[in-house]
Amino acid sequence: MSDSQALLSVRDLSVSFRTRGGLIRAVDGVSFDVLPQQIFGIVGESGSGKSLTILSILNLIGDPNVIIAGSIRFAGQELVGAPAPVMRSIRGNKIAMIFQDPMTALTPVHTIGAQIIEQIRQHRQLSAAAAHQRMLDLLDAVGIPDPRQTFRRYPHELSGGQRQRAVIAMALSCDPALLLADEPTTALDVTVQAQILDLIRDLRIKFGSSIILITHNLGVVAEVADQVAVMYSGRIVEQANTADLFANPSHPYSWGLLGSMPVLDGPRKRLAAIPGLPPALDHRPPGCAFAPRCHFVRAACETTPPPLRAAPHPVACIIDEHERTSLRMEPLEQ
Amino acid sequence: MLSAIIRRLIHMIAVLFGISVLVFLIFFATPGANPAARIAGRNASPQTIARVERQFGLNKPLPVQYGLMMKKLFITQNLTSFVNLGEKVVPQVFRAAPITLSLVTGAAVIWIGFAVLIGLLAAAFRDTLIDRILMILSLIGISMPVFWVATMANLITQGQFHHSWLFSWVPPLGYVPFNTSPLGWFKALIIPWFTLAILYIGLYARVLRAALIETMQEDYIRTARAKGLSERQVLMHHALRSAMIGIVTLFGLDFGALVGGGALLTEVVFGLQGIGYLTYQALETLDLPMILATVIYASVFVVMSNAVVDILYAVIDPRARQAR
Amino acid sequence: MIKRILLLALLLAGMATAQAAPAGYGGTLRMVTVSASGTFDPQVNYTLRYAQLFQMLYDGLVTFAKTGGPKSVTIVPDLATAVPVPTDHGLTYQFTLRTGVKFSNGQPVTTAAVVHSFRRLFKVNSPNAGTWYDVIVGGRRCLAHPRSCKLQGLVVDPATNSITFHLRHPDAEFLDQLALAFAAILPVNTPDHNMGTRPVPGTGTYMVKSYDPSTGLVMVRNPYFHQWSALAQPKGFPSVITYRFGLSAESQVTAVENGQYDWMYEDVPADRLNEIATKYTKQVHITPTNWTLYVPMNVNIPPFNNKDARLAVEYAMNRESTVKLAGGNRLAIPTCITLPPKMPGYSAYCPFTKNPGKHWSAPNWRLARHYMKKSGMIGQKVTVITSLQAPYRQIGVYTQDVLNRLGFKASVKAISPNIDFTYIQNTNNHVQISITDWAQDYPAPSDFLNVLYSCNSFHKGSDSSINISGFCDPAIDAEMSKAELFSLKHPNQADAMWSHIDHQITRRAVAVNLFSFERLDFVSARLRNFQFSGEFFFLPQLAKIKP
Repeated sequence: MSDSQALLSVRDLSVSFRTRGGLIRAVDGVSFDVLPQQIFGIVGESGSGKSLTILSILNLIGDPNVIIAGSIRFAGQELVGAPAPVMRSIRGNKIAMIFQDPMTALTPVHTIGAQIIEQIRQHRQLSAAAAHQRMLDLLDAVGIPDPRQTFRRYPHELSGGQRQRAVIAMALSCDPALLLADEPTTALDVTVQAQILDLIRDLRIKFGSSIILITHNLGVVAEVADQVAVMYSGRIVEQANTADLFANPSHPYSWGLLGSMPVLDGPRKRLAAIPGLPPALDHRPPGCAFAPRCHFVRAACETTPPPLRAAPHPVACIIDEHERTSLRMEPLEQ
Repeated sequence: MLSAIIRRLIHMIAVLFGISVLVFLIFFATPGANPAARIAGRNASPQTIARVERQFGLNKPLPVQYGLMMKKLFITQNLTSFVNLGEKVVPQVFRAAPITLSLVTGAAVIWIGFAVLIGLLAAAFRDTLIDRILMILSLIGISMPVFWVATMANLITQGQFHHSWLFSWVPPLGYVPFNTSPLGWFKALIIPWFTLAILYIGLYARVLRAALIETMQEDYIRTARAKGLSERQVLMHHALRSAMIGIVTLFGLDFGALVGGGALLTEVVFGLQGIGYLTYQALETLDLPMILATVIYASVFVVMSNAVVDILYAVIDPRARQAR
Repeated sequence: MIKRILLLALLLAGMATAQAAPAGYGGTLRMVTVSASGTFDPQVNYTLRYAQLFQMLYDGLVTFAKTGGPKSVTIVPDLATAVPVPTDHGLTYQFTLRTGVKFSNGQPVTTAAVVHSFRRLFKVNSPNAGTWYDVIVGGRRCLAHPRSCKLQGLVVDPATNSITFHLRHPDAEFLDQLALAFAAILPVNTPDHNMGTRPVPGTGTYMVKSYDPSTGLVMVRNPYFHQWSALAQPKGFPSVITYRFGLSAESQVTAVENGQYDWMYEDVPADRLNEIATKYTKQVHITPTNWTLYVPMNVNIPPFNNKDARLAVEYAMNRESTVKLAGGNRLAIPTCITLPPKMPGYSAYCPFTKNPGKHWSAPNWRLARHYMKKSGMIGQKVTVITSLQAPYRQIGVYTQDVLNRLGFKASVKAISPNIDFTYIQNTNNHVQISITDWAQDYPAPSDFLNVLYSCNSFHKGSDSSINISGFCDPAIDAEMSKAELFSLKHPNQADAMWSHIDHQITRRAVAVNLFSFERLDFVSARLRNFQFSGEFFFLPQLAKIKP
């Protein structure tokens, strides 16, 4: 894949925080591309740096002590270090974001209709009536029942699912080329999750946007993503298209993740948890970050962080491809 | 809806009853407070004093006196002062009400305006020099006792610099009714307005700043930024609106208390004969009927303002609407 | 041609000036005070603040001359044509009512109005109905049954306009008591109850246009007034007099300095004295008054039931220190005796000082400690009761200090000036020593000595027991009665008797007399002809404010 085709091109992105104890790197040298109309999933456990990665695209990390380094190119424009007016014209307009908790994502004192219209009129020169109609159309497009009544409602008057739909409607109001979704279904119950996922899948068709979808739930990734990046301790450890990842996972961490997924078919097994915890961000081991927990660790793992090896798809592990297959079949420790 | 109103009325009556009984008891527990000798005049003969006691019912048992006074206050509405004999207390209270209302409303407009401005600036420039200076000024405003500020204001505008071009427009102390002269009304009130407002500006600015800073941590602020809104828009349309809810509650209670007579120190020093001044005079001269009238008036306002604030809450915070 | 026009113009101008009001008349006099002063009924109100107003709104049969200087304490005829000499061994006074006088509502003054007004004294609970006016025959019956009051001792004849009072016993102060506002003659249809906030029409040079106890009052010329005696009721110079209520004393000083008011009622606060004395010297008037500050000691309860303890305090109190606290020698004159210097019967005397003689010079601590030791009261707890007002509070603290230095365990309690006076009178409160004052009703020695120290003035458990020390000596009472009797026929002898009584009571050390007040009046720059009456103080009607 060449840069010129990518909609979003992230190279060596690192997000560090100045603290009293020194500099902490939460995201360490992340690189990936997102193509037009692609759903790109990023999975990892809490603290892996996935939220920070996409927040830094729009420069929404609200901490004055943050340092963002590297390059994020969007449609040819460099976003890292871009001046505030440039960022404001991109946010909500060319790149939109939806957040994890629909309960708190909307301002409680304005109606959902008003909040959507606010975003529309921020970026488009529309009359009040035209903006109003567009807002109703959007609500309809995301499947909210009876938009003509619902737009007057306040966020707390809607159910979780409806609220998230409203948030999505708002995010799409200016036809963004890229939608960033940070765990959009995590706070919802299972049946609603499925509906939202369907909606997200449709969005790609209806609106033509690319989506970066962050989740810790592999099931979600399996449902909707085209490409998946697995993050661990601030780094991407494996990246593949969805089918490949599930068919041929190559990183021991991915093996652990997949092993911890309950399967619907087949005998019921005890879920395997990966023993241990990710390293504290200020105590990252010098070598591979997963080494302390890796079942297959060897001496070389602990000296230098393994680079991303290309075949069959980018994976940050020194285990040879041939070895990998045999190791994979070994029963994991209970 | 009706049951809520009835509940509030019962609540108000209970409060008024409690307060009036308390005032009554405190009055008669104060040694030397019995007004008979003071009403009769100095060196009055025992017969004269006895006659005054009979006339004012002061020889009756306390509960009976209380009942009689409440009857005169609410039912026959002819309760008269112990000190200014023959003066009906209730009309005096209502005559004084517009003065207090003028003072408090003007001050409220000023303090809300300035407090919002200062709170916004302080929150927007948080932790910078501007913020620190504004907060120190606010603290100074809160710390200065209002009667001192008022006296200093008089010292400067009426005393030292009265004849200079700066303050020669300041009229003599006292209230000018709006009907008599709108400009005079304004000129007489402008310095009392600012004096009364200073304390509240300081307080409200600090509260608003804290509320704004807290609100700015909320998730929906991040959403607002993600929409491409400028910081100013985020602050004014999203953060301020939410932070003001707490301010409105505070304001309702403060305003109610002030209108009921809480601005008495300001009124006394500026010679504005409003409810606070009446209360002060009544307490000074131990004029029980007037004390009861002003205290009950104040209580009514406080209870009412509590109710209004509750209603207002539902109006400005949509989340509170269901909970009524 | 031009010359003729000029001449004509001059002539016209001359005529115009001639027809203008005589110099000094006109303008609005603006007075200011802290608050109203109780009822506006002249027969009930007992405050100086309103007495000062009543004297120009109402008239009695006689009055104190409305002028400044010593003449102000002499009695002149007012609604009566002459001041009578009593006949019948002092039991009968006969007056003739002046004709042609009208009230401000147009009604004529008749003998019926006189009868009605005196009966009304008993119906409205006038404070002095039971102490002064009950000397009239029938008065005591009126006290007991006010509704059916006939007051037989007052006899009038409408045909001859004669008014006759029959007294139960001779009373040297009867004329003084007729000269005060209580005995004002009011219209015959004035209701028989306390008029409160509704001013009663009067015969004075002014009438009340509006009165609101919260804001103030406005007085304008009485349209039916014609001056019949410049001494009794002079035509007032100002056309309008306003009296504003509601400014604190501090604000009043500033306002007078700014020319916003012409005269303030309250005392100038101590912190402004230097300012007005130096920057506004010409606007300050200081006049002696018959008003003293004294410290009664309760002779019925410990420790001051012991005479030695009382003597110790008398010798230890430094009158000069208290004078300083009151504003200095120009405002307070130290004393040891009860009667103030301008009072008839005053004879300077001071035993409680370093060099006993006529005047106080310095405290005598040696003697003070001697008496203290003798009394055996060292270590006794004493509470000084005083008022929150200046200078009472400060003098209270000073007294506490003196008591402590003597060996008492003293504390001081300062209470609201509105209740302190009744509080210290009531024996139920067990007040041992207090700081208080006394001002004359009229210039008679008995108004101080008899009122403050006779057995009759002491009532147990009452808020009105003006003999605060609780002193009662029948022998002294008898002397006072004798002096009263003599006052009628032999005033000089009576004065000597009163001096003697004064000195005796002083030696009994019943109270520590500290000083008499000089009254300070601060007026605006434009006010001319400031006249101070010994009875009514500043006379507003004589102030000239029109240039």
